[in-house]
Amino acid sequence: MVSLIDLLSNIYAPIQTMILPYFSIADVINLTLICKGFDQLQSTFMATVYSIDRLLGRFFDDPLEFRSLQGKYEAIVTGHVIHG
Amino acid sequence: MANDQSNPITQYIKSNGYEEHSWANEDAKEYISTVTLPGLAITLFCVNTMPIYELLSNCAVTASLYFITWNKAYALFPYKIPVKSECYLLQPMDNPILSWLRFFQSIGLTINTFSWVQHRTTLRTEVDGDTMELLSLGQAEHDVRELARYRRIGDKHTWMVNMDTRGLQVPDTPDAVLESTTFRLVIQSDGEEDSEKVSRYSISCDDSLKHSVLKYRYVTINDFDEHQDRKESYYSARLSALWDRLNETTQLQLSPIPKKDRPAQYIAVLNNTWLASEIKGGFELPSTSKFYDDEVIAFLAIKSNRWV
Repeated sequence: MVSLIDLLSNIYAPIQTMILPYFSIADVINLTLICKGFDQLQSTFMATVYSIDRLLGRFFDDPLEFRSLQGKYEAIVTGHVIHG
Repeated sequence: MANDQSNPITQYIKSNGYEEHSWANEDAKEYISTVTLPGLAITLFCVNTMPIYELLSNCAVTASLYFITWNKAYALFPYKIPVKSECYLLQPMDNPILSWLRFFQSIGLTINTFSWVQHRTTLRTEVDGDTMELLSLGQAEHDVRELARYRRIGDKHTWMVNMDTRGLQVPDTPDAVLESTTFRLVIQSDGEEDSEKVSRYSISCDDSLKHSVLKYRYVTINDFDEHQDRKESYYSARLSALWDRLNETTQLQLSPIPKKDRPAQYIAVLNNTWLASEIKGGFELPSTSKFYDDEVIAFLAIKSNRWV
């Protein structure tokens, strides 16, 4: 039988792609807290739905250039964008 | 970093089609997008200290303690906020804070003053003359422990996520400098001003660990005054010892410098070691100077449950 763990894994990538955008960070944390089978969910979530480059791409043409500047000048990003 | 046109981050923001909108205050400028998504805004704060110190000192509520560096995302209270949907007030309730409170309420967070249990609970007890942490806290007090314990950004209580760094230039400053930041929530009782009528937490931290024998600056819990009326905590005793070592090594570092090249405060530093953290950059270091950042980072990495 196919479980939620399977559906959110790379085995069923198209389904994973469709479902993940409906998850919040809280959902991901809750799932990783209740079952070890979701251990990979956080990294998948961060690499896809919550990709930092996708997030910063709303603000800048080249997020990588901004992040390099951010590192050089020890800047941190915070505020509404993090919670949105 | 100065908040003017020469600032590389300002230049980068403007090159992406943003126009300066208005002054929020002397150190903060707002930029509005005219190209990508008209109306999209960025507020840039330029500070002369570590940005994390400004965030800890000025954030409205504990839910504000989410941030992103060049390579990692951090959530300092990852259980309370996304899972329990609650956060705690950290500033007086004046106008700039109210807009943040409205925002956090709009995304479904309950805003609390401070843990009601903590008001009648202590995390310390005296056993044979030693201050010990209470071990038998009930379920309700777990909330208190989560909020009141000594914290380090890089500790196990922070939700820290590594981000893809392919294609990025790696900066000189190691992550350990930011992750060595220690802080603690302390209850701020109501004061005289109207905006201070509501009790709340405030964040205890200090950014003065910046001796010339250190390459980087560090933010640490400001625990000295808090314990004047009771036994000194393990943490504050250790931090005091660390300050002594850094003051001494700074004096030692200054001594071999030819008289004409010494900082103007040389004699004052010899007589008042607290000045030792204030002279960085005011003189040229000998080429043989040793830096003590590794020792400071190792000290601050002590498990926080030993700090009480």
